Amino acid sequence: MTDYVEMHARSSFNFLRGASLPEDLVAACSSLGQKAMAVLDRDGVYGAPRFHFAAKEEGIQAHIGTEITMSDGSILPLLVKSRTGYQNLCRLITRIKMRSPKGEGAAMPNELAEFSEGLVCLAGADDGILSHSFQNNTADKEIQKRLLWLIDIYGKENIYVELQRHYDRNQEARNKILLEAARRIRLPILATNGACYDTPARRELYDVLTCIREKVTLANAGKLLARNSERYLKSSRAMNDLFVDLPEAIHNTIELSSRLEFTLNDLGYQFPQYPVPDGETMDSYLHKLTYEGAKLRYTGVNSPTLEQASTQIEHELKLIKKLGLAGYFLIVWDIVQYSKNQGILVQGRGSAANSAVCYSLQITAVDPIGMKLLFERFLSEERHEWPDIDLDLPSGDRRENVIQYVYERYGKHGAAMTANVITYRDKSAFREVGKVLGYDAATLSRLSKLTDIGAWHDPLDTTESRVVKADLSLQDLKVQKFMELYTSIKDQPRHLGQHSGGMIVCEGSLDSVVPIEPASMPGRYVVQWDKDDCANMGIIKIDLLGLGMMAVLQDSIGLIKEAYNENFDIAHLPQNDPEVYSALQQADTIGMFQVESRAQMASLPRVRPEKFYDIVVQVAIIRPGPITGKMVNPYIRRRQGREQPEYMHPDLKPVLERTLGVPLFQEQLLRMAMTCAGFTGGEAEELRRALGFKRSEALMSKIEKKLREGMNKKGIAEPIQDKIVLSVKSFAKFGFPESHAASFALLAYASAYLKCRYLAAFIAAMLNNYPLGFYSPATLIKDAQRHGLHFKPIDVNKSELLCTIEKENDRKWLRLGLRYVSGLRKIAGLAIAEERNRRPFHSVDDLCLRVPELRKTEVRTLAAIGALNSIEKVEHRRTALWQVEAALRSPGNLFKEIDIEGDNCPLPTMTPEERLSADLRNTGINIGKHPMSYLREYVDSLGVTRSTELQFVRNNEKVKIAGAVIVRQRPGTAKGFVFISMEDEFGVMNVIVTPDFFRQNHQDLVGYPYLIVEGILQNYDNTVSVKAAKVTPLMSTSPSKSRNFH
Amino acid sequence: MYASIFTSEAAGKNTLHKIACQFSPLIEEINDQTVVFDIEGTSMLIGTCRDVAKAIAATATEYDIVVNIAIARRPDTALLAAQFMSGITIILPGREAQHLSSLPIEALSSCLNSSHNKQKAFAEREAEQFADVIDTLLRWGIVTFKDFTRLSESSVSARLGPFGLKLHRYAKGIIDRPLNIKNKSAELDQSMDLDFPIDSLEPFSFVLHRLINQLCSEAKSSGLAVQELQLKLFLEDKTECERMLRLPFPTLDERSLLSHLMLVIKSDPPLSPIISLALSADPVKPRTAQPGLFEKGAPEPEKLQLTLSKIERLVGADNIGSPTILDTYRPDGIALKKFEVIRSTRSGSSSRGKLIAEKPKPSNPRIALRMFRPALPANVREISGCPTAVSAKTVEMQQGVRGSIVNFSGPWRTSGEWWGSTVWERDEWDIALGDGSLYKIYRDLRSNSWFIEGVYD
Repeated sequence: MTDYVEMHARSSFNFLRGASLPEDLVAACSSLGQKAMAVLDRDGVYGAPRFHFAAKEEGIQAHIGTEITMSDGSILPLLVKSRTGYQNLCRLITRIKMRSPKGEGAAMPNELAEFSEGLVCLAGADDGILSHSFQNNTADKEIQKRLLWLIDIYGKENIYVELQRHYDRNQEARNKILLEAARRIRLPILATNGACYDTPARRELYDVLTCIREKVTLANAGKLLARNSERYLKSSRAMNDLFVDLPEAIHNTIELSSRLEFTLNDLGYQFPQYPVPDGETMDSYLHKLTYEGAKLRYTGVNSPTLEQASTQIEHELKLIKKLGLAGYFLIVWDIVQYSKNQGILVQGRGSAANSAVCYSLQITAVDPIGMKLLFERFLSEERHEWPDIDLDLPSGDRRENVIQYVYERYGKHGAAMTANVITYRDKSAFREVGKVLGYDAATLSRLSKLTDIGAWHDPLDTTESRVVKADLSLQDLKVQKFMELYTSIKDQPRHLGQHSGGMIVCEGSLDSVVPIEPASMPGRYVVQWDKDDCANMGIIKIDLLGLGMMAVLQDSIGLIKEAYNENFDIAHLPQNDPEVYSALQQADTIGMFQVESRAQMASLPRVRPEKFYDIVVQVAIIRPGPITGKMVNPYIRRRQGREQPEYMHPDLKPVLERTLGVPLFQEQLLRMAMTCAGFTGGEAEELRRALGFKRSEALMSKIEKKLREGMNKKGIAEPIQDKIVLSVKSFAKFGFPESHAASFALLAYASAYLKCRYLAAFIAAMLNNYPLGFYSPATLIKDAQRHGLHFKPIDVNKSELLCTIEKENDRKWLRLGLRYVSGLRKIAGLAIAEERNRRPFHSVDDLCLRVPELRKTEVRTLAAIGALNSIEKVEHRRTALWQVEAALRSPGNLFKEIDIEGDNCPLPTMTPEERLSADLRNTGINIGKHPMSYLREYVDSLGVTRSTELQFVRNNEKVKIAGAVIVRQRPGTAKGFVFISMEDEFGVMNVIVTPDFFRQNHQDLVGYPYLIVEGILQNYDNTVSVKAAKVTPLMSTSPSKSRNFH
Repeated sequence: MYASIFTSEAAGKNTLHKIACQFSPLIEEINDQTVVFDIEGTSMLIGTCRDVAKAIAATATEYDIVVNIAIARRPDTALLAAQFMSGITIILPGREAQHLSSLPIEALSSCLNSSHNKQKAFAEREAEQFADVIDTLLRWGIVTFKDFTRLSESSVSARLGPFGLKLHRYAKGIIDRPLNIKNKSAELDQSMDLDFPIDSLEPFSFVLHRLINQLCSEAKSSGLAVQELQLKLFLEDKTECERMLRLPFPTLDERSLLSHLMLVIKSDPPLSPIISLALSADPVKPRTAQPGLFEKGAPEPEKLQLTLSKIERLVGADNIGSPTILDTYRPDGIALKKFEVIRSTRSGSSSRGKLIAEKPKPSNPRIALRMFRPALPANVREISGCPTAVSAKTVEMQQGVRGSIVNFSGPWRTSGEWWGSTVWERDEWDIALGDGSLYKIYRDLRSNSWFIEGVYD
């Protein structure tokens, strides 16, 4: 028996044309004892990195290839022989993709030659380039002509006539013609199985994917479906048997495999060089820039001196030089400089904050020396991977500006965003599989609605239970198939999206490293690999992340300058502002970055932060890692002095002292490994990655073993070892790096400072950058009003598109912007402001005449919310509505001179309730009385306790509360508990809902905007909440919006 | 004066119409729940408006439905009152606005329904306009007819346009219009109670002919035809049976209808003598198409249908039609579709004007396969999974199929419909026996049994 290599397999990265992941194909290949395999994606190399690494692990040679779509609809399978071939392939794909809309594109026959070097072409597959020729009566001649054309392009030695045998009469007839042609022209033949899945059982999923692709149901798909289940990865024995009459076809697979030298190890990626001034090298220039910056950073005032810092800086620069990373730091520095020059706020986050060089270059804002942060978390010699620098930028246009700068600087073919592979999740899997099986729209809708609510996965909520809830019978064969297919389609790639901010750049052209294609968003380009694949392939990624709070801070600076006439500098905020800490201690944190969530609010009064480091801890502690690791309560008890700090081992005291013996940060994990098990910095970082990386289970156990060996050497007893290993495992996956927490804590402090000191500016900026944070604008406004901020309504004669600050009687008023008018287009809002700035509108007619962009519905909405009330002769909202209708309707030439009756509006003024309703309906916000105040008399009569009175109610006492729901949450770490925040006119109240109670009262709890909740009051260290025992919807005419399960 | 009847109950399709018919021939049917009709002159027969209303109510009681009745000078006023005021409402001329004043503004929507024969696009536009006006009125705080009618016509006209003005006038009850009377293409039905039970077909055909004749005359008088007939037979043993005739074309040909219906009855005669019968049909527009001058001759549809019905009676409904190949790999994937004569159309005919007929294109010779239906169960000897000898008995061939396989090609494998109970999976082989005969055999992989599917010519 001759060995066989499958040279034409398709993985599920051949989007909807393959039913097995690359890893599964590799595993099957390995179990069949085959030494190599080629996987070809359609018009791309989407799955190549995953295929490459899986194959590397199994000791299989991974041949890279692509099926190129031709302009006649056929495909041309190409295999990569050399690096040149790979580069040609990437460029060819890029060319096809860049000129076509997303998901489309085909190669023209005349452009193949340009990119032919280093590629091997397979001709003959069912849907291949020769497929159209079989339809003619003169198929043999036509095929010969086409093969000669391919020989012209790729050379005779690089063409194989591909023969597949799937027990199909027609295919065999075609094979005969191909074989004759191959013999006539003396071309080698190649046996392949065109494998689309690893085992025959996956054929069912393959058929389903075909239906999804072709948008048909299984029942109607007909011959679009597979004829049989033969396209699986076959053993060498099976292939030898199939081609027993053509042994050379099998032998040639080995021969071809040996000719394909290229693997992705030979990618040829180089990070771009940074242009430096004459006489400088990149290293010397980085050295110079670092010290220039360090002089400003390390002044010795509230910071170490330059002398103290220089040891660390030198150490880092030395390592950067050794690893050849100076260019990377300079490029990031360049982006930061560009942002600063453009007045765009930028701050590095993540492990980069562990670097004194990054701090000196002003890439990050946290001093790693002052905070004793571990540099090895960022960069180490042993790690053999690029460091990760993430930059936070204000979300929106300003971030786009920076992204476009990178495109401009490195060219359309030199820079691109990383991709995000969209896979089938619960909802999409339910919907798509159901559709293919022919379920009606109502059943599909029922099925997709039955997926998880919030991040919590209810253990009682199984696929079976959902199916039963959707009124389907588990005994039904179709239903059983539905469940099988739902399971097998989950996590299969669906299509390619765009990563939120990861950019990669390349020396030379990036399109010869990985194909680039346009993203859905105009002006954006993505590579075909996701961020993990890029990192694994050694491609440096710079994350340019949009952060709403950065935009708020940036906007606040401008607003403070304008309204307060003060220069506000985020970098030089007064430290330890008492008002900030007082607000934090009272959990008065609505709108503040990272500390506004319900869980944060519940822990803040217990932790009572007093200094900046407490905020760093606070940001890190309310995370899935510490919560599931049950570290939150021990930390709080120790902080409150109710419990003494305990250390798992005396050696760990210096490591865990700052966090009272509770490991909270990833750096602590590294130091624990270094202290207890004698790990080097690089080894410890490897441990973190292994623990956090989902695909490295085997690696994790290997490193755990190493950890235990180290601890054995140090004589640490086994029970303590277990404890250390357990605590390391439980939070390594989700825990924050301390540097990252510190960067976020800076933003949290800045946002808290702004809220306490410049409330008007902060709230205006928050409202202008919505959506962000936990709360709706209505909640932000009510909270700000409770803090004494006064608002002015939307007014066409005063409002800009965004919210602004007005000064009147030595008081600052926040004027609501036109962006809050529902349905008012930005273009119309801008036109109103522009026209009004020329001169105010003196009548409704004047407004309609001067702002032709305004649509009828928009003017009506403006009138309904009172935005026209400042116009002359408009007495109230109804007058405006009355005049608007006349203004919108042209009287025509005949009657235009006639002064129709109507200046005297006969309509009644709106009642306060009507005004509230109109405001909430048309803007979602209300600056007047809280909607609950209209129900106050009624709810008081029911014996409802007000939010402000709850703190005086005794613990465990029965209580009844009423309010508008502002947030509903079901965190994954809360074991199915649901947390509801309700608001009345006096403040916010917290409700805890048990999983059982939620299940029983789901409709009321989720379906109504206003609720009355009865239950037991719980007061822990001034954190007050009500455990729901009864819920009743509270009927109100005012609509209310809440943020649910986000 | 006009009367309107409204019922919130799900009354029979024609109940309100039947009630109204007893008082006036001039009826406008708004929907299944509302009618409005002209009662001018009824006072001479019945008395005052209230008396008329009471008489209508009494008739409604006979039909066992609860109704609202309103009488007013204008049809739309009567309509509004009937729909929104319970019991009997008599609106005297000049007091319309006063009566309607408490109605909610949304009630004006009933005025939209009152005009018929509107094109879909027009109706949609009107519905949009209506929604727009009501939205504006609600924004204005206008919730009742009274609020609306307080506004002056000129200001309404200037702000809400002609449509708003129309609604304003509706609210005042001053819009007048003629009724939209439509000849009701009601179901045609004829019935007959027989003096004595009929138990043979011949006398029955006379009776049936009479009914068909009456039904066709009725349809003809309305310019309509018949395509579907429903015959209900009441039998002596106190049971009922129904027969249905569906023709592919509308017709008024009584003889053809009778022949078809008799064929249906012959193929499935009633089990007991007939004592009474009822024939009904939904009238449809008659056939207007005229065959083209250049069209190929084809049998008259009536005759063709008759022939098809006769064949169907012989072979059964499932065994007649044109064979069509299904889009599936399933073996024997064919079905019978309804037989239709395809008429060529003149337009697009490329051969028009050609004097010389096109030569038929040469096609590759194909071997014909004669299928055994059902396939013959066979015994197959195999070595290494390949068949080497086959034997099977068949009625058609005296000696059956028997012999060593001297040559074969295969297996050709198909499988599918794995998601349901019709799943199949099989390997096919083309085999040559020593006597030179060629067969197609297959192994059903699910039952692991062999069959001979056919013989190649």
